[in-house]
Amino acid sequence: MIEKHGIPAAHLAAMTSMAKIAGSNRIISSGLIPHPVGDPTRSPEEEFKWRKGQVRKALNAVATPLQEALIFPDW
Amino acid sequence: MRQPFRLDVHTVDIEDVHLGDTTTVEGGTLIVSTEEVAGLILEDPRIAAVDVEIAQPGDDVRIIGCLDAVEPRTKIGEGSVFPGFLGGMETVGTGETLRLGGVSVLASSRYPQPFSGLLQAREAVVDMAGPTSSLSPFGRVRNVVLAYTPNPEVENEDYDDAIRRSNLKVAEFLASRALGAPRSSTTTFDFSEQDPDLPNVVYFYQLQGQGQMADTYLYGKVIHNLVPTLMHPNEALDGALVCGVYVYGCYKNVTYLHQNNPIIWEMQARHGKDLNFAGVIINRGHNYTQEEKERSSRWAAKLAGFLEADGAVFTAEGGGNSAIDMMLAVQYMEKAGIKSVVVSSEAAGADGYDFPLFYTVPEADAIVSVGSEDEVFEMPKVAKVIGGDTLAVDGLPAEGPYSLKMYFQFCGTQQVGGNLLVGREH
Amino acid sequence: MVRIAHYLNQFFAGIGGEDKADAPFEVREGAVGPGRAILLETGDDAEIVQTLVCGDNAFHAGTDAILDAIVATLAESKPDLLIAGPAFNAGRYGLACGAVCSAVSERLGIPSLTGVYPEAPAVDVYRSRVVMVPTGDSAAGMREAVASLVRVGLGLAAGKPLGPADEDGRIPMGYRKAVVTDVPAARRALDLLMAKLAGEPFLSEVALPKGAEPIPPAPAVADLSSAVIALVTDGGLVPEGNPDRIESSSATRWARYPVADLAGNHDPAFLSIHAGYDSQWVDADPNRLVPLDALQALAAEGVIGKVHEFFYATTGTGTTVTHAERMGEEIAKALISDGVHAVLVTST
Repeated sequence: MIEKHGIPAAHLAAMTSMAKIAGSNRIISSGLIPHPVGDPTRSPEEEFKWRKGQVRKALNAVATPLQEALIFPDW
Repeated sequence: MRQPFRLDVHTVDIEDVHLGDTTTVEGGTLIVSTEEVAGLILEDPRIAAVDVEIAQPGDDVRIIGCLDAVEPRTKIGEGSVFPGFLGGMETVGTGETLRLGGVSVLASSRYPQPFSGLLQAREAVVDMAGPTSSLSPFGRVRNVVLAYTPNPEVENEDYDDAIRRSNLKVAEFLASRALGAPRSSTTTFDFSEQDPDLPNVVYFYQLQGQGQMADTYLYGKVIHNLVPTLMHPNEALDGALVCGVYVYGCYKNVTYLHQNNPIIWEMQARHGKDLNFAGVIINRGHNYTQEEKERSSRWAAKLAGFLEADGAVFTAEGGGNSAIDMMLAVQYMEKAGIKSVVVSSEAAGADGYDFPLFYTVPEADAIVSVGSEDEVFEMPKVAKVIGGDTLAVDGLPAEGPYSLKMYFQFCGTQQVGGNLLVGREH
Repeated sequence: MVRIAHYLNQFFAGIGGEDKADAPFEVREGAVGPGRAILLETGDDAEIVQTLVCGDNAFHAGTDAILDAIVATLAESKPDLLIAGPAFNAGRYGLACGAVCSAVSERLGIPSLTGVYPEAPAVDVYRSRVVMVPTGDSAAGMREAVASLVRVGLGLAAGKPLGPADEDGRIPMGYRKAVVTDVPAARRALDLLMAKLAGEPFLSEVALPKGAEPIPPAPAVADLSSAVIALVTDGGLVPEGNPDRIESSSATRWARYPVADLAGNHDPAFLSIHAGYDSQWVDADPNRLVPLDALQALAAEGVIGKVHEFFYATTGTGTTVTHAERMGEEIAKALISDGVHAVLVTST
């Protein structure tokens, strides 16, 4: 709905197949269902670094021109 | 399944249940001694008190706080039902088992400590009379209700273990009192003979294994790290699967439904006539990532291939998350040429206008409906409530009247087919 | 005896064809045209007390006034049932029948129904509001159409609740409802599988979706370093006490909260009220759901312009598509008016 109104939206989710079905265009596979941008197995510093990386991927996605929906590769 | 694995299930049909001085079965009547049953239960100090109540079809009664329901069963001769909980570890599914037909031992309780988050025991109700009695399969059986009071010092997890063991123990005890009673019928579950001219059908049996209060026990252990594996159908019938799923009441498979899994009973009836029952593949639902779901579903399809399956029936436990695991398995089996049929709960919104499925794949073209979790029903005022005065939904007085979503109807839309509702386009 | 009111257009009332389509609204006593066929079908069980007649063009030119007149007429005569048409595949007539049934049933509570060809335009417009029976595409199917109207109509008049559309012989109204069956799901499942394995035709009890309309991707952000980025989640993160009463499942509400409050995360603390996942990790650190710390760090580094001052939250579990689309629409509008350039959404 947000993309429909012309604002690019990156969707960070563990369940990328659900995000695709729901109609998201910029999908980033991230984390687990109960914490899409968290990883409690890491130390707080490591977790923050990882989360920053995930957010960077999402920012990259909103800055990427697209023709159709894409699940961004986990580069 | 060519290996001999034969289970004879002897049924003693029960036509009436009442409380009395000594627990016994006489002429189709089960008499339950409160003293004997409470004595068994209160051996465990984690349980402070128990009320033993009888709720039979037609009684103007509502049972609330329902947790698990177990059919009274015992082994004849060697062995024990519910390995991992009662008796030692052993493989069940062979020999002779005695069951009390039409009876359940139903646990009702609140927990000693408050819950937070997703995984908590939520409200589940059964009405025994009137049109709302069709909303739960337990509106049609004679329930020996054990309404437990926890020891307030005990943690939820520990208390949960106490009532699970208690329920299984009482179920075994009641059945053991019918060992001398005349048997109404015997059903043999033996799938070792396979007719090469009939199609091979497997049962994809997905179980909830999400965490405490949302777990299924396989031989006494949770299934969190389970990859899909093979099980003989007789094992499910004979107590290998025990329910500890208390989140959303409508789509859980209580122990009674594992013991009487309608898909397995239907396969038994058709084995050697329409099909060869080629095996059961159990799978854990609610895997947390797409990758894990892909791994499990592909693995299940591979196993079905090993079993030379031509077709498969799929059931899941729980809602949207678990539907993904199951639907992916449908997709990979169909891609391998195995024809699928899915039994699914719906989520069509309160007014029924929404698309009814949580998640679909284009290959899932044959779906059987068991009704919608969202449908709202008018619950009438009842004369008696078992399990407390207050509903764990908006603090409503339990006796009613109020309207209540299917969510809270005990096993109302469980997906092994134990109820008699079907969602239809109106 | 059931008292029926009947609605007809100028053609079926015998006034004339297209050249008489502006015939004004009138009320006649007793049965007219197809009304006589209705009485043949009902026998002594019913009578037609009034026939309401209006030309198709006249109806569409003055819809509101004519509906008011019809409602006023029937409020006085108090029939037990309104039958409109059948209209077959006639476009304007079918739409008029739909409008009349809809007004009479909703404003007067009088059971109403019409009969139309299943592909007629009236079906798309009125299917969820008006009881309709399927008919042939022309008046050659009059006898069957009238038989269906009478069968379903007398049931409505008797207060019989609607059953499954195919059992009732109606056009589906687009909603699903559970009924009690005597064939257990396990048997139906195996019957379906046997048919599928034998290569015979089979009918799924739930039809698959036709596939959602893809939304074309929005243009990319040209310059991240000057962009305002907002955070949105369906993971149910709200201040303790849930002041906006966002539902823990089947949400119909959303809310936005200052990121400054979340950054402090104390008094009130932010917690997840989502009933579809285990929220212990998010409750311990809400950044695991709404990655505010990471985004603020990137803003401080100049990677983005700034973090939008609010984050938006609702609960995505058991949420109906209708509500989800509406809330998405509302949130999108709020984001636009706030001058947000891009959004990061997190889902559990």
